[in-house]
Amino acid sequence: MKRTMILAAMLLLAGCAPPMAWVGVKPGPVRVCGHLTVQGDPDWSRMQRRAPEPGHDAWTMDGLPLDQLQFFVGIASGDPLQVMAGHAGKQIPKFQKDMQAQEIIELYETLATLDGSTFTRGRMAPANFAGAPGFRFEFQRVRKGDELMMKGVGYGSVQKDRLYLLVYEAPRIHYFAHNLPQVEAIASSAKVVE
Amino acid sequence: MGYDLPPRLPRPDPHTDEGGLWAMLDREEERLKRSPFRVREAGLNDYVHGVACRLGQVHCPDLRTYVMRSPYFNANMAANGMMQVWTGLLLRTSNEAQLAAVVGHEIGHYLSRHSLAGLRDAKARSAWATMLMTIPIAGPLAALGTLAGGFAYTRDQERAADSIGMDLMAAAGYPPMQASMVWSNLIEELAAEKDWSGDAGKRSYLFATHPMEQERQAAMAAKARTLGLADRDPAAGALRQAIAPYRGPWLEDELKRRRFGESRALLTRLRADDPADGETAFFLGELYRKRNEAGDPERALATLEEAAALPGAPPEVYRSMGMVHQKAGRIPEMKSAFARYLEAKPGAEDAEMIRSYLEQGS
Repeated sequence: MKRTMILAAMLLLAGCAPPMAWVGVKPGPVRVCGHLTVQGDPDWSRMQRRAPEPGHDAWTMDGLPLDQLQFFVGIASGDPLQVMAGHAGKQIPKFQKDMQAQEIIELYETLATLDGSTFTRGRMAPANFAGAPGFRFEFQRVRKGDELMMKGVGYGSVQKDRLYLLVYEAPRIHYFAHNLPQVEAIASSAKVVE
Repeated sequence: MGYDLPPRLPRPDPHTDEGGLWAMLDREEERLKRSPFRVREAGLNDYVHGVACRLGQVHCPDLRTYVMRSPYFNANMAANGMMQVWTGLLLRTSNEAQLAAVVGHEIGHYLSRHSLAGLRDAKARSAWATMLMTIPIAGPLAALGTLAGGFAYTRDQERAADSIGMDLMAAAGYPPMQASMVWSNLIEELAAEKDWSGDAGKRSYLFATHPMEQERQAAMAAKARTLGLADRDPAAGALRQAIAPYRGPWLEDELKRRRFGESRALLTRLRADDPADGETAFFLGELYRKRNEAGDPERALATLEEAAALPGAPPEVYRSMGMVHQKAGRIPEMKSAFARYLEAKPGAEDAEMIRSYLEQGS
């Protein structure tokens, strides 16, 4: 009975084109969501979705369950950070152009705790990002699904009323620290493209 | 007392269905013990276990309680004696008697071995794995899907557990009427959510179509009237004292649910229970600041100012006041609030950011 159901599910999945694929990132300047460029690093792969979400991109080095680098690019006032399919009933906060760094981090925090994960903020300080004064923040998260202790770092700035945010998260053990220099290099290379 | 407490339940033979279930539950319990979501503070765990023991009497040695960090109203108990109490439940019970009502209800399921009946049913449906799902006491605010679609106790079992729970409460010296208060508080939160967002009814379809909560609340109130004992102390102070040192992060979790209608009803109730507490005032102010609807910045500021004047408000109260002023362009007020924040918490993780606001003057 169970086996039949699994088989049926597999057949059903096989009938559809995969919703996404991983594509290697090329060296040199890479455009992210049209309005941001960063220095590409071939150690990373980016998620290519069949129906890409404007303003959101995700990269990984060791595979998505382990580490992820998320880009939120040119989020306009009144828009959420990410379209939350399956969370229609939740009151998802929207970016507002007059938001302070603290509130922008709260936006991300909401996203990161939708599944019941716990989120603890760490150091937060002013920093330039994508060619404008912004902020850098650190955090820890206990991921609900597998109870893994994650560490993260993010950079953000608001330019011409639009939000540019980059967030990296990986397990506290080994992965976070190991990949951090490359994340910092990508973050410092970010530029907004008109 | 209307309920004859059965003798301690023996560990079942491993070769039986029930024995197999226990073996799985024991493994689950090992996982639970190691979970980073487990609240490990000994004082709090001893307190909750003490309440369970007071209710369970001779069964005390078989009851193992675990406080788990999750902002939802939930407690559950497995057949092997493992009981989870979620922080969202501890936040919502106004006194020890209300906590005892929920814990007593779960012990009622345990003593009646209701999950064994569920096990047979689950096996018949080839849904063995669902047995490992632990069962929420309250659907709407907890994992509704589990109740509505997966394994759940029947309504008769719920009624029986409610009744046993109240008898255990009465025997342990608690006023039984508090059991029905647990449900009226929940109903109030759901109604507040519906008023605010309009979607509580849609989301809680079980609640909307089967007014189970109202029925159970009415049945409990009726039973409490026959049991009497209304003049007993519900021990509000004991519960408050037990959770006070840990409550801040739970309230933060509560606001992250972004069910502002429910959270506002909860915080308003907590404030009424203890009007001199700066912590709940701070979080109510935070709710308005985060909700940010028309009139909310003013409500936030007024509530935060009130909180700052009360004991128990965290240093972040000044940061939030500074943020509200900053947004409104009131720079001198912003500077004074941020300066007070840094003074109260010089090593704050966002001190550099706050200092930059003070330097920029904007």
